[in-house]
Amino acid sequence: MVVERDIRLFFQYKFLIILRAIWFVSQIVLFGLIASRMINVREVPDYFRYYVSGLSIMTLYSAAIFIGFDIYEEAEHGVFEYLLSLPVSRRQLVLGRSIGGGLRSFIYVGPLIAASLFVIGAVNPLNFLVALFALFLFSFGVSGMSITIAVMIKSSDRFDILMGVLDALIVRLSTAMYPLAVVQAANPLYGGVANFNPVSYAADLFRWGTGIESTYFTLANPLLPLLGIIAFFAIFTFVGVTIYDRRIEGGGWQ
Amino acid sequence: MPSIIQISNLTKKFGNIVAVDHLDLEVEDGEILGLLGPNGAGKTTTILMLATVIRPTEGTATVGGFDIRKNPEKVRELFGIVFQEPKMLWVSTPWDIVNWHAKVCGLSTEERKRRVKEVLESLDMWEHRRKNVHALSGGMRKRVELAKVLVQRPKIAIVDEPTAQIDVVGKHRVWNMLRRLRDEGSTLILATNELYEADELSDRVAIMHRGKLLVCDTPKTLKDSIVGGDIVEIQLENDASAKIVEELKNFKEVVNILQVKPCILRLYLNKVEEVVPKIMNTLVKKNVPVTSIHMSEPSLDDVFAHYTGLTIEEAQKSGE
Amino acid sequence: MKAIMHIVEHDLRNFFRYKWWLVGLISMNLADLFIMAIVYNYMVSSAVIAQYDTYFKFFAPGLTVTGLFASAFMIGREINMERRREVHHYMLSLPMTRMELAIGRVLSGGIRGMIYMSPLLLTCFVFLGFPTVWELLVILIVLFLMALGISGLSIAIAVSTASLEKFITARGLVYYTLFFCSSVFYPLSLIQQLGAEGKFPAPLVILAEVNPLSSASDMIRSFLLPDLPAFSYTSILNVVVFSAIFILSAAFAYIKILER
Repeated sequence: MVVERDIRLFFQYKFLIILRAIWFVSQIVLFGLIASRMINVREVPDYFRYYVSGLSIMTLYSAAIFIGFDIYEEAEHGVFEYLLSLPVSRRQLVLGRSIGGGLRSFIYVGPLIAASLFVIGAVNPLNFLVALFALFLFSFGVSGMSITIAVMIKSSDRFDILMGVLDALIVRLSTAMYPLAVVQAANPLYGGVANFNPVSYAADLFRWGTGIESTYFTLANPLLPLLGIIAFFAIFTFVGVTIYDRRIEGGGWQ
Repeated sequence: MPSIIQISNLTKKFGNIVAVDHLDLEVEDGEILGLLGPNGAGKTTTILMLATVIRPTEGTATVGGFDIRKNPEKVRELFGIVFQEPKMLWVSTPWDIVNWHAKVCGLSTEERKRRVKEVLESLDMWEHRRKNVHALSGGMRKRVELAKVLVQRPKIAIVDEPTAQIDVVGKHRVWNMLRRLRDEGSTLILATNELYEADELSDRVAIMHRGKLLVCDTPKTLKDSIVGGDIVEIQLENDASAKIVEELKNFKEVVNILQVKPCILRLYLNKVEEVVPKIMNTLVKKNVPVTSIHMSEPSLDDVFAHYTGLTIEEAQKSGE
Repeated sequence: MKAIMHIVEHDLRNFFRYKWWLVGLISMNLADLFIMAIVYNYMVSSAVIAQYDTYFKFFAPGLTVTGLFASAFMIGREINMERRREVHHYMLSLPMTRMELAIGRVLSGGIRGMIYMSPLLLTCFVFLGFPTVWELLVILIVLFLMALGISGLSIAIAVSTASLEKFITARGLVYYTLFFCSSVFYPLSLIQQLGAEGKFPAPLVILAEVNPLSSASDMIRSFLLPDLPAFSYTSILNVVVFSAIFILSAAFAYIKILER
């Protein structure tokens, strides 16, 4: 029920959804197309397809973050008290919100992922199912992270800033926009962060699932990024739940 | 007293909705004119047109000799407005809001500092002057809104629901401040739907309903003008039937009957001492049990009811 | 004049109230420069970027211009918020002419853009080299003109859109079209080449050519980077026309729409 409520809420932001779709399409047809012309084919043979697949992950990430903003809206309008008064355990509530946040972002990014699959033009059914499962966990993890941070930081302005900075770092220091080898060549520190980054894991698995990864690199063991994503999901969903639980019981969200 | 504002044929339409309907009204220099009416009566729209914030669809007004259509800049120099909903961005602080307003209104640095401190202190807002607006309560925001005009001391002050969200003690303090503003030479237009406030503060009251002006005079004259100057409110045990209402109307002393609630009848009548026993006898004979009976002087609500057939509360509901 | 200054003061004060938000925004811009641009250095074809030395050097001026664009656009968000909370009734009731109010708001939007952009421009100078006094003057004048145009554009959009969602959507559309159809991220020659090959729509190629963001970015590049063809001052005309159109639109929209 909590999941259903969060999904319905999300679709009330119809203009925001349109905006994201505009952003996605313009990134592909304007930036992706032109930027792919200036990339050295020896480094990335087909940057356009590489970029489009990475863009799907970046969009999924930013959609899953959105649940944190709902938390502030609810705190501001007193809806939080209502949710806490429902005959649902705190753990169910938090887990429901985290899954709801992840699921709705997945539903929303679904058509965009389908569009990017069409552009990429490669589907490897079995691998793709595994990748899809990983992306599910990734989006739940990101929602859990967003909820945890939203509850820990009281000001929505500060949350907005932090998420912006985090977005800038976590996305740019990942393999969403460029292969790991290039990041490592540019700066070993950047490469180190990109190597331990859930966005990289999700992007790499998605490319592995769609079968286009072999064009740029060969994922030696898809199990490693998969385990990385499971760990990310576990930390921010289950550990996050505990923090959330303590905060709301103590009225820390007020 | 000469008129400082002359409104003639002022009309505002929003699409098919007529918010203000051919309004004619004069405001005298140095008075407090109460603009009384339920929500949606057209008070705020009238105010916004006078202050040249929105354009009239038809008609015009002169303010201090300046036409609101031809010389809006000159008109704005004469006005100061306390808006119904405080108009401020939530990232601002009370001190910044009031100080900046005083600056725009041309107060010298020294005068500005003195007045801002004085007014914020008198409104109990000095301690909160550095807080962001979003951290203030609704009543505090309203006080900041009021402070702008108190600091400005404009030639004409418009105050729209000045005591909304302010507690009872605060209300009396605000009323005294508005009276002082009038005594210092400002003309005040007080838009309100609070009867007691209008009665207490206004030199004259203009009653508006559905965009039209119903009547305008001093509160006393308005109340005295009601034929059947005595009011008796009878609460019955059960709902009053149409038959019993008709029966009571047959008394020649009864001028009008308003069914305030299904079981409450408000009778406007003459010779209260003679007629009340007769009414009670009739009710007993007809086997209509009475719970309570209350006699009173007419209020502005009765004046409003006299002209519209509705109490302000009812008009408010029908307006919503 | 005094009234205009009061409006500018009002808007600047509000601007600095969002100081942490601005710090966050600048750090995001710098992440673009110091992470994305540096990584791109390693995969951008040298044939495309050779005349600029590195992608970092190419991108820094473009990023400065986009920073200016985003911050000058912020005034529109505030005016839209004022409209939704009916604060514009208060602004319109102030003792000043509508023209003074409109000019004050456009001007403050422009000044805010310049303030925000200055650390980005300074970063540009530090890494690309300092311009001569004359060049610096030209850069500042052109960027300020552009900031005024952006501020006007955002105000025109803000007063014509009733809800924040609609404003944000319209803003997004303007941002992405103007950012991506410009020489901010890639050289103009690349877009023209794609257009000539029929792989990029001709109207968007024209948009990229007349886009003030392209003119401003290329102007800074030509002043700061050696061996680039001399900057054609006629391209400043793009910025002037853009500013004139949107300053007038803002004044017209502000006066006509809000007073309705």
